[in-house]
Amino acid sequence: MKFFSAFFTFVLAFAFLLTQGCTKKNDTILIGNYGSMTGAEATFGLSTKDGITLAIEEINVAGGINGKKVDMKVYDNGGKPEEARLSVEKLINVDNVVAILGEVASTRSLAAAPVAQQYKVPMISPSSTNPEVTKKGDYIFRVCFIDPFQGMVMAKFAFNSLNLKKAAVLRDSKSDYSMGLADYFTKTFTELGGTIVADEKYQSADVDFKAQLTSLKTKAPDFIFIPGYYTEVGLIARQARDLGLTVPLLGGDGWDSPKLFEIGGDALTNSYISNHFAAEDPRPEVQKFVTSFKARFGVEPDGLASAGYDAANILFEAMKKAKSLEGSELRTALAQTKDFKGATGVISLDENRDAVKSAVILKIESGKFKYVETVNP
Amino acid sequence: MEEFIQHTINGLSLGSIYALVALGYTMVFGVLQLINFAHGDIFMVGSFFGLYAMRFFAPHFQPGPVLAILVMGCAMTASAVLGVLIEHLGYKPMRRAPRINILITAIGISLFLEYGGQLVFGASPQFFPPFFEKTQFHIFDSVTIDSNQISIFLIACLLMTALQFLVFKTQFGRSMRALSHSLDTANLIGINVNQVIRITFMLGSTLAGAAGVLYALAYPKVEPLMGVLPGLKAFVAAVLGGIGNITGAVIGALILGLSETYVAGYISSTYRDALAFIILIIVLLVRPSGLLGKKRIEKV
Amino acid sequence: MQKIKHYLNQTVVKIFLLLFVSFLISWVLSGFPFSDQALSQILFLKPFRTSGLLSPYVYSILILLGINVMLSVSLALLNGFCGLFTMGHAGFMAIGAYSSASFIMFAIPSSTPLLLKLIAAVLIGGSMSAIVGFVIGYSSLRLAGDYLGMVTLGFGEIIRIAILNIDAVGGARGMIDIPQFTNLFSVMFVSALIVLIVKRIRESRFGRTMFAIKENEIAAQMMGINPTKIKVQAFVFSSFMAGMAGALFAHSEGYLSTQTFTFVKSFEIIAMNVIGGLGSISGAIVGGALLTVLPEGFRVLQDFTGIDLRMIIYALTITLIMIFLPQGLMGSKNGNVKEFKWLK
Repeated sequence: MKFFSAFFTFVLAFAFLLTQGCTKKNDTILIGNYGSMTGAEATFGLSTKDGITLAIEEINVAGGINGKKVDMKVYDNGGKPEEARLSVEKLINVDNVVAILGEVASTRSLAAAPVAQQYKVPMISPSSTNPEVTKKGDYIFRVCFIDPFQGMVMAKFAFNSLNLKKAAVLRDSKSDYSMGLADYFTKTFTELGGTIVADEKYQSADVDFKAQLTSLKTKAPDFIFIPGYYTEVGLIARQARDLGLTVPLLGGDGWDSPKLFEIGGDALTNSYISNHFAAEDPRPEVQKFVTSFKARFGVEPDGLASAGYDAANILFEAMKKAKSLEGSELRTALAQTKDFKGATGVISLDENRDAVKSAVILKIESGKFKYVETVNP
Repeated sequence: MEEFIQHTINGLSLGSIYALVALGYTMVFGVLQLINFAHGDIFMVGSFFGLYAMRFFAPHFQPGPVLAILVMGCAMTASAVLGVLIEHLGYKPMRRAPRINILITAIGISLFLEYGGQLVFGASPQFFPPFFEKTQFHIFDSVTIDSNQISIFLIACLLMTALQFLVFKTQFGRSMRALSHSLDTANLIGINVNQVIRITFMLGSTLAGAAGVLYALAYPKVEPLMGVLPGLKAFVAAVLGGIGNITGAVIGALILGLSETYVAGYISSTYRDALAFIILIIVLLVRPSGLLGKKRIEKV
Repeated sequence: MQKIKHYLNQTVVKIFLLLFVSFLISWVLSGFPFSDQALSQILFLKPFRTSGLLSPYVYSILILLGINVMLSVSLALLNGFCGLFTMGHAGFMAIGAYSSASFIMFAIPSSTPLLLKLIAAVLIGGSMSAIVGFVIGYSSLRLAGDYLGMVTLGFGEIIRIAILNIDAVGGARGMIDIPQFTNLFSVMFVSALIVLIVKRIRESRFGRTMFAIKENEIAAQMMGINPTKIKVQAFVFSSFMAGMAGALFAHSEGYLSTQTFTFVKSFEIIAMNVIGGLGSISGAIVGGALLTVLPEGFRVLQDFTGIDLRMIIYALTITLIMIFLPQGLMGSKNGNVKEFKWLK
């Protein structure tokens, strides 16, 4: 009896798997999105999804692509690489999507990219910054900076513009993004002639950074470079100020979120970040995105949402230009993307399928980003 | 020297946070011999309810003691209700089940609260506004300590004393202790076992709720998975002190907080998260019943 | 001497039988291919994700299912037979995965035949993991019950954090470009082999002693059993098998990251055991299969609910099974466990 109940459940579950996704409508274009919608990094996945959703709704209101509406399938991977791979496998083979948007984290993009490459389905990562991601094959694209570029930008800015020579690095040893950015920053900064006086680590989801900050303080750095995500940076900034560390804090595009100011408050004053765009940027693309995102979701967009929005729009642009929606045609059209005016800047894709766009340096003043300068690649 | 004092202050304040969570853990374990994995998540729900109470009351009250009591009260009530609910629906049907089954149930409930939290509260971290203006004190030149750190430390000590009193000096405490020796015997001598367990759970969850709000005061960021790490660390602290032992939990938590801070500050921050487990392993291998725990003799 | 020979014959025959059956099933599942290329793909262990009866997606699930069954059965040896409650099985899997991947990538020439590579990978992964299992088992001998669980959880996390900080295997980025040569055939064969071995262990003297220790350690000691030795042996066996599963996992994914091997994975393996029924091999198989298929199966629900309830349902299922079916799917009220007929 027990055996039958077990067997029955199993067969039922399996039948689920085999029967789903058999319907394919011809009047819509189906794209796939995979990300971590649950688990420790859910907030990143959900933000990105919101950005993509907005882009899809806008294109559908505008009449779709060559008359066809766009629809999206979203799969969660709970932050696990093996599930990321499985969900891409499902998107391609069961749902027959024409293109894939995702993942935020480089680790999961690296796990899933070979699948997309194998089936020749274009995949655009909104914010995987590790250089390895697009090396997985010629169907893999990205619309964000790569770590070496951003690390170099911040190192040069700190050394040349701010004239600070002694750096301390506080990095997230769990996050690939943070480790990569910290490494490239260190490399450029020491090449320029600066010194790294301390290099400390934390792990994402930590809340107490006082031990690291206290020992950083004794090394008397001119500034602290914190290549992390806004989820931790707010608390780091607060605790640094509590301990009497008044030096500037520098960071990357991972900081970009309204939550940063909410959690960090005044402690963030006198900090600099490199980012894709400035919210005060008068360019119509930026302003339109910010207002419509706010109208749709009730919150200010963060960096991940805008990257997702741009990734989707670049894909739509390519779909309009491509002769057909075949993987190879779409890929060719994507590879030719040039001077695309997106919310995160003017994007061109180079021969490595990486985005070439200028970075802006922003200063945080009284709970707002202030534009400082633009650095061209 | 100043660095050392600063590290010690940081370590003690971190330890007292762990202690707040560990107290509830150890109390439930002491009575039921049950590792309540959901404790960390009740703690999370507590701080979220604190946040909502804060948003509700903040327009009407100035930051100060009244607001503090209101917020704490809401958080503690909500988590007490949740605790009793979990006990009634999850653990009560399993009273005679093997330990491992109860543990799996606990893990299941914990996962349920975490993923449910991500759905209900949203996955992104939220800011917890302070209901008490904190003041910074400077000792020497560069050593700082703030009022939050001091009050959390004092509250942890106070709660420890109160619980100690409850367990060893009151009638209810006596039934709790009887229960921890043997469920059947306690039943036979006329103790309402279910009620004692329910109240123990309620107390433990209330503590978790209070800890959640105080935690959010010290680290003003609340998110649905915030309970996982403190839960694990607090468990380690409780085991370190001898699980089931109230003073032991606080001492274990302080030792854990201090050693984490010293190691991260002086040796390397790389293995900071592994440290809690390394300590746990060493303590259990050298002294399996913890620092203050009593040795249990197994009989055939 | 005669007896050993007899046994050997029997085992060798069985292994060949397993090989043949696994091959047959893989052949059927991949849609009865007759071309030389397709056949050699199955036999010489190239990943074949081409069209067949199965979509590549279901094919990938089946591979994961096989790996999860291995993990679950290997844990059943420790948890179900010997009563050693461990929560660090993901750590053993991680050791197996990372060590075999590094061995294949850095230590042997890439021109080695795939079959040899596979055997080497599985053996290396298993042995490295067994060595760690020996150390952990030996050092945590004094502990029992929940304490043992916590210590093994600690070991598992320490292993994960240690790997996270080794740059040679990719650190936080993860290990990329691992040669992929695990296919359905090899996974099926190894998992069937593990089931066979565990079944033999249970029937052996060693297995009986494990059950004796589980029931009552002190009484077992009185009977002249050395619990220390048996427990360490159980740890070594179990971690060896978990390491093999890890190795196959590494070479089927082609990518490894520490995000896979968190303590949530260890919980998952325990849950597989308990849902199936502790102490039952069939239970471990059923549990492993269910917990692989269910999370994927629940994806369909998203079409109806609009939001992702997958993980909530998953957590709820575990809890409800524990409350209403405490003996697991293959257990019975009187404490005995049920087995499939072919496993008896």
